[in-house]
Amino acid sequence: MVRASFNLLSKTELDTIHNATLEILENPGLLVPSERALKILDKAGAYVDYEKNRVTIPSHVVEEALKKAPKTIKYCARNPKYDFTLEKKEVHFTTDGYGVYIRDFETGERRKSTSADLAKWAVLADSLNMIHVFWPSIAPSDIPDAVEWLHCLIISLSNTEKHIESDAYTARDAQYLIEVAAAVVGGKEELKKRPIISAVQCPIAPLGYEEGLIEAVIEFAEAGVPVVPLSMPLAGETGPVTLAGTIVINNAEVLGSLVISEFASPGAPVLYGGCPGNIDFKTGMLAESPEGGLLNASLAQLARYYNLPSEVCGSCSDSKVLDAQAAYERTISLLPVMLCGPDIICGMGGLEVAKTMVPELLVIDNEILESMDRFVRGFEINDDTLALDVIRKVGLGGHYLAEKHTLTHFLKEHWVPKISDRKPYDTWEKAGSKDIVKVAKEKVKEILATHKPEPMPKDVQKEISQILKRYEKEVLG
Amino acid sequence: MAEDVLKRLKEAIMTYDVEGAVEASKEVIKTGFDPLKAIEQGLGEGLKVVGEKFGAGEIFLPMLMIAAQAMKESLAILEPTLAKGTSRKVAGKVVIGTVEGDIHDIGKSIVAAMLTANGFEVHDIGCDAPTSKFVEKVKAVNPDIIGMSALLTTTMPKMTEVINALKKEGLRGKVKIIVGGAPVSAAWAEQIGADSYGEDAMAAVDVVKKLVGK
Repeated sequence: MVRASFNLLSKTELDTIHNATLEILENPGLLVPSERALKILDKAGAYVDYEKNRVTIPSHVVEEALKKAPKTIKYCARNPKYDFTLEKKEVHFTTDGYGVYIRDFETGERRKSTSADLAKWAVLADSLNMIHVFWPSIAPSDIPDAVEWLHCLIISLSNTEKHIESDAYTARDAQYLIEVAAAVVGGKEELKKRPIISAVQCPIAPLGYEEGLIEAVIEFAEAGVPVVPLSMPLAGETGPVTLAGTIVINNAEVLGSLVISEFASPGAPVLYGGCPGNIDFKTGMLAESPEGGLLNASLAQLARYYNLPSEVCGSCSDSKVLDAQAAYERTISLLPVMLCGPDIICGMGGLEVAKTMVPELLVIDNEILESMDRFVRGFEINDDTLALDVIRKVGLGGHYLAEKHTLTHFLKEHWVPKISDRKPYDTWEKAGSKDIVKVAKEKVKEILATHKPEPMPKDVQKEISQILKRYEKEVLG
Repeated sequence: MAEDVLKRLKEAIMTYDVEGAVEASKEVIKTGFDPLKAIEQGLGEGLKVVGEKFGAGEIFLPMLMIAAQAMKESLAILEPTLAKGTSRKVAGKVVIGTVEGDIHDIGKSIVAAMLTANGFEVHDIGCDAPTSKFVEKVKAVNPDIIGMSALLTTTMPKMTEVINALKKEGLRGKVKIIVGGAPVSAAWAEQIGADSYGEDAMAAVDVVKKLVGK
């Protein structure tokens, strides 16, 4: 099988990054502002300064954590037909997180997003074949921030049957998310076997964690819910300006989070995560760039180096609208990362580097992903595919269109676009001269009118709404 | 038994099964079943469905081409056995070819397959067809339509040559002429005095249907 892939980094270069990271974990170490996490690290054999919340992690502790970590992770879903395993064979995709605006596909207006938008976003993602994981990418402005994650999870569960990647700000958030997910699958033990949610828990670059976020990591580890420590150092701002240095920062933060998970609960499912980037040096703002592609591709390779399942970032754009810039930026940030073979790539459907979600873009991204997925799959070389018999049968001149060999293979060997236009000019003109954005908008409309994900059973819905009530009372008073 | 063979013919075409269609056609002869009925209600019905599906974008080109090939091979078996004076009902007769100097065969073959699927009797004279071959075929089969294809700007003028030759033979008034191929346009069709132009196989079928008044 010829598979399209590439190695950005050599084994020696990966060793160099790994060794540099171990040096950083020993000096200056990491900032861990949580007594609970510090105790775990202390017990693991790290050097802990409880007053300064600082920890230095010797290399043998890192090696031990890597040994405990599972090499494959199951991502289950409310509907088992959407289950899959992260085993470094296939690249999967998630919706982008975590936009505060939506471009209303009917009015074209860019406005604050709401919980109704999130519900529609989930339905859309549920219908698109290349979106394997739903990250509730839309911040609902109509829900209080302090309770938004549980709301986001429940809205997501109600509108998609796929695996949901959630987030939690605190240990309590995590406990409630776990409780809701357990209610769906039939208990906490069952959830360990069938984790229908995972959690993206970002370290705080450079080289630290936030108390609530890291304590949530511990809760998830104990519950068997996969965690993605999604480091986001920005070269020149929260990471060194050089890409190698920023990779070291990302790597140290991920390995630190991994140590906490594995010593909190040996064998806890942890993905190698990362969404490093860079800034626009004129404004200091996060920016999409070819360097982002290099950074994320490197991380996908580091994950393989550690034999850990991974989630990294791709398909980003700074563009404000669906234009040529949006298309070329997505391509350069996606394809090199895909070729390095991570398990999951996030970033689908967002513009302005994830600030604004655009429904028709999610449909276009699905198309881009299909075509790139086809590219990455490569092709087979064997007697059947070399086709010598058919070549001899057709002979010199003639064509292969009416050959059985063509009929047998064409759909396996060739991608058929869903929305890209391949019509001749006159036919395209007669059909309304539609560009791809217009076609995608029509598709969004059609999906939202016709696609109906299976609702959760009534008793589960009832149980979940009781949990939500209890949570809101506890958090909001 | 009789209805069974009709079903087999139709299904062989609809499942793109050349061997199956040929086998069923041989059985038609062996069992003494009416070959005209076999063509019209078996093969023809199947191919009609295939053509409709292709026109609606539900199936792909290799499927259309193989179904047309199955039809062609079955007709070669059944047509010679038709009783003298009887012939299958067709939507019209078409002579089609790629003009001299141009070896681009496929576009023309796709149009031929699509016309066959729509009930036309298609006489494909192949590619690199000299003007004289068009004229001879027109005299021989008396078609309603002539379709000419060219993929090169350098061979497009051959279309004019064919039209002039038909005029010279007094045949121009008896046939309608359509042209096609990547560099060919509606404007070109008008310039050389052709009757119409089809941008792709589906358009060609619409145009031909219009020209024969169906």
